[in-house]
Amino acid sequence: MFEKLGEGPHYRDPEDDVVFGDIFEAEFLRDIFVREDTTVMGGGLLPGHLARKVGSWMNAELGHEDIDLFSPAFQPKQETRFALAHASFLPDAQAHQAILVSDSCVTATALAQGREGRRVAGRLLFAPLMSVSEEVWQGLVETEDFERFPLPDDERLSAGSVAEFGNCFMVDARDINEHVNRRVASLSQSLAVELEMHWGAYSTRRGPRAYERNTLKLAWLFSGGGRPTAEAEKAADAIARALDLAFQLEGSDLEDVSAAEESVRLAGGNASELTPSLTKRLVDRLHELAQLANTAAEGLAPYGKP
Amino acid sequence: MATAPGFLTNHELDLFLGGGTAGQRQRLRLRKDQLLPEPAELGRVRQFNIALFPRFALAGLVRELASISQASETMGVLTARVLRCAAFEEVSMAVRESAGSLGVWSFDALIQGVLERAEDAVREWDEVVQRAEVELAERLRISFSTELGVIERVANDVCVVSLDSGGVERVPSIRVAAVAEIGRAVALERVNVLAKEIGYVMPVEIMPDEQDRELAAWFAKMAEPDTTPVLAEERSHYEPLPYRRSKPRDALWHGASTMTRRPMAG
Repeated sequence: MFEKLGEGPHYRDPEDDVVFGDIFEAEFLRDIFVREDTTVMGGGLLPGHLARKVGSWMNAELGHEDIDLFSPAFQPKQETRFALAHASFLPDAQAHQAILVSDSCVTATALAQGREGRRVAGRLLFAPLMSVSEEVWQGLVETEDFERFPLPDDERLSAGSVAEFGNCFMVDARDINEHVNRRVASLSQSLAVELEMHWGAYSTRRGPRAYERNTLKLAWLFSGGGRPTAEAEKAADAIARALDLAFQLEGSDLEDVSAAEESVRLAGGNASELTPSLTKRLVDRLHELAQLANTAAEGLAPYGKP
Repeated sequence: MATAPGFLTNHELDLFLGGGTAGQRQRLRLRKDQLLPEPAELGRVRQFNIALFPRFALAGLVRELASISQASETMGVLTARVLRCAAFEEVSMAVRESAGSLGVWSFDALIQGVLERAEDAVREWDEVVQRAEVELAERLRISFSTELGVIERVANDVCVVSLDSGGVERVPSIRVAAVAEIGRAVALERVNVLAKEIGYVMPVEIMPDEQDRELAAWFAKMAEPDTTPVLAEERSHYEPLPYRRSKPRDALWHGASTMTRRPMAG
């Protein structure tokens, strides 16, 4: 992976709007998960003068501050919805960093970015960043483990940071909205695309990361179950090249269509002015795609003979 | 188990005698007249000058005591006896330490600190004081009783105590040595001298029972640092293929992204 990432810089300073791939650092960002013993609970603040008494039982100096005291034995309240769950504790020395993997459109809606009259609501999905050794990090770059995305080094991140998709957790949009200044970095466009592909491979097993792996498997089959030959790889990768174009058609060209639709529907743009150029690009791309699909089919044909 | 403290200090006596320098002067006068027994002088602990009196010294605040023959002598003898016992040595050390941790004077906090430091000695010395009070009652016709309750309200310099035994007692704030906070558990210490009865509100010594000890042990266990070794967790379900690509594939998708644009509507 990272063949198309280039030299960088791979990160940029966060802009006003929160977007896919933004990296946050805040102590409350913990990967909470449920198990069968998860239960809702009630409770609240225990006044400081009573907290001291509890502290003396615990051999802990709790001072005069009020403390939180919760238990499933207390009646749960709608307004707080506390639950007893589990967390993967991070070592104390490690920063609590997490990367936003909700897409930018959902994020904008949840945070009411550029949306007058809408309120901040909903939840956003984060993957916690864990720090691994250089050896493990390099191994992840080479092996393409869909569950773990190694992030290029940067002084704003812990060394050997890896986004752990397997430990994703959700955060209330209201709290993200209150902590937008806790972003330490945003991803460059190239790195954001890498993250998107990796995330797609993990969450839906679709996109370039997934089909590249499957075309390699096809090459292995074409090679009789031995080390893939260059010829077999070329034939199988022809499918990947056609799918690359489909990926670009979907992710870039049709997204431009979406942006144009919004500019007409919401900003008073002129549909008849925008349509011709968009259509021409789509037609060109489809012709190109047909050509690549045809090439791929021809390359595969010999392997289809009994 | 809860009871009134077996001792009080010069600070509480000063309060009961009017507070401030007037209360202090009055206490010294009573000492001079030997209506108050000779206390155990702890001297200066941080900013506090501390002298300890057994609880029954409260009888010396009742004017009628002066008309009882041999009252001051008997009180003096019994005071000297209770202050001589070994348990008091430990209690007074705990008082010194507890007072040393106070920023401002608080009889409640002092008592709490003493209990935390010398619970067994407090328990033992309280019994010594109780026996002395029984002896005083027999020899001088003065009596002492302790009732537990909670502060119901405080208004117009009067503290209203709802007693566990039923009924309500109104005590002038000047005779309240406990923190006057609604709902706080207190002890009402009554002193009766020749049919003249005066009540004082004191903090309660709450002695932990077996369940309290169990609870404390449970909390202590919960507060212990985690010493469980970190389990080697299988982080990923990744299964590597036994073969690899001969060279990286030259992909065509560069720049295609559906996630990073900033749309006007989702």
